Amino acid sequence: MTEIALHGEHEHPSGIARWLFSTNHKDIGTLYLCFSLLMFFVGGCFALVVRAELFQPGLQFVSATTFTQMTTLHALVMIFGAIMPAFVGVANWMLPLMIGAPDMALPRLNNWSFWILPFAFLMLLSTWAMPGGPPTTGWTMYPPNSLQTGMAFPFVIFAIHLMGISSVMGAINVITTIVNMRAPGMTWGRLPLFVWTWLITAFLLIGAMPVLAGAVTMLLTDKYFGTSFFNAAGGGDPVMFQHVFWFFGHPEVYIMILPAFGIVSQIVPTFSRKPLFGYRSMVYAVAAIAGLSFIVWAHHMFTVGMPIAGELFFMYSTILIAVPTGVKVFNWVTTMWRGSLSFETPMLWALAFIVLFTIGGFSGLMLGLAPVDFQYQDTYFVVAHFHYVLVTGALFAIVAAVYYWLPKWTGHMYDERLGKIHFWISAIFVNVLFFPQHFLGLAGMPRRIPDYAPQYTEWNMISSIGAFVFGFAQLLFVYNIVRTARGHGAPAGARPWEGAHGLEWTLPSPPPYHSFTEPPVVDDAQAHT
Amino acid sequence: MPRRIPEAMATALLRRRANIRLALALAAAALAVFGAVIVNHLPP
Repeated sequence: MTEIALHGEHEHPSGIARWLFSTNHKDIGTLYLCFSLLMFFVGGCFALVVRAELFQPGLQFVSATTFTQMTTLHALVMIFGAIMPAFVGVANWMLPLMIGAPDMALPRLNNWSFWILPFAFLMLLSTWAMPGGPPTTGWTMYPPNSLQTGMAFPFVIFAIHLMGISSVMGAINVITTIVNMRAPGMTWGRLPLFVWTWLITAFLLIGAMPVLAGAVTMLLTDKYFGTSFFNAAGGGDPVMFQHVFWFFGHPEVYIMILPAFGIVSQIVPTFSRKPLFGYRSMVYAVAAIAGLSFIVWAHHMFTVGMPIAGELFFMYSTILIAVPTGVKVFNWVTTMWRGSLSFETPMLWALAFIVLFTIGGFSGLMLGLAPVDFQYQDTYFVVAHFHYVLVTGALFAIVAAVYYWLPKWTGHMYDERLGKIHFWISAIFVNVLFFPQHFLGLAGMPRRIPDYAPQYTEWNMISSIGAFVFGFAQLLFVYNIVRTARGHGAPAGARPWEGAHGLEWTLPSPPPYHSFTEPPVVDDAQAHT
Repeated sequence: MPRRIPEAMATALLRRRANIRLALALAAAALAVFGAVIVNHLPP
């Protein structure tokens, strides 16, 4: 019996059953990507309510409570519903294609990982209909504020548990696939960078997500079962929650950025028509960033009152992250050096990533300096910083990945002109949106407030205009994807990008239902490392 | 005489067993982290 028969090559379900019961990595990848696109717009709508309210000082559209609930759900939806599932979607599509496997190692688990998510988010978003509404805490859910949430509280906790279970199951699948399913010749030294970054990200997920699960479980028992983990009156410590949360939270930030590094490391060599500069140092840098992510958490809480030795330790360990990150940026730039560059849409997004993510990295360095952070803590400077990292970093890399692999996924080329228009509007207005927030923060505007002093008005207006143009420009992205998926656009060959190397480009576009039924043999030419 | 399992199928089964073993080990690691976080914060 061959591998084809084992996987039921001739039993392709159709209609709704194809999507509900799918164990196919490409179908599940598509589900993840569509879900994350939907969540991106849901979270985007929350952000636009926030920015509309902040267009002018005073309360215009929503109450202060609704405003903070918007910020909470904007963050939770964007982090757990948009960014993370989008990377899992790209991983589902590309990992088996890149390592020469027929599918993911655990296809049924893959189906389950995805189908948990819609229910989790249904539960999370249903809190709007509950008395008291969603939490007003932001995504960090610090007690005692979070413990004052109404009946939505257990629903939010359960939704977070489901998201965590989904992520951990996805991570297990990724590790098992990469460790056990590589084609002959696909040695560790030949793994594409996207595969490497996802392997390391999956270990981060397994190390970090259960910590969040533990933290929110303790919140739950504090509220409903009379424990005092974080209740000072019962001998607990609310600051301990911050330590536990950020022990998860900082690796979580890297969970959202390491796959982006992998994507950019695939795209830059393709459009530079050169192998990636410093392959091994890239892998070591990713591993170093992942390792450091577990020993820097308290830089999020410099102002809670730590011993000076603690402040110094977390400051130095944080600043240390600049070294491997610098290695990566250096390697991307050096890959382009004297390359035969061309600037198709994926390359434009990747270049914007390198420049703008580096700006986010620099503001991160500023925030990592303990004495300086005392000035910036809880201001709009922090908001500007993490949006440069997560929007122009993670999101731009996801968009770059979609443009880069869309011809492979659909068998058709997207509209290049429309892609470039989408890029330029996004790249300009994302800076109109977020750059002024640096000035607001440096001037002292606090974050998570619906009203502000009049001297902050101008930059807030500019930021809000940037938000609306950036937000609506994303409809061009949806239109471009839909028209490509519906078969408009020139047919894409197996390798639509002449500079692209790797196993995924040896298959036709779109690839067959089971990616590699015969394991390919990998040599150095294909690995291109 | 036991029936011979075709080679391709045997390889696939072996790989599946290896997959499940690794997946269970990783799931156990995740559960251990979850348990450790809570146990570590229980009062003495």
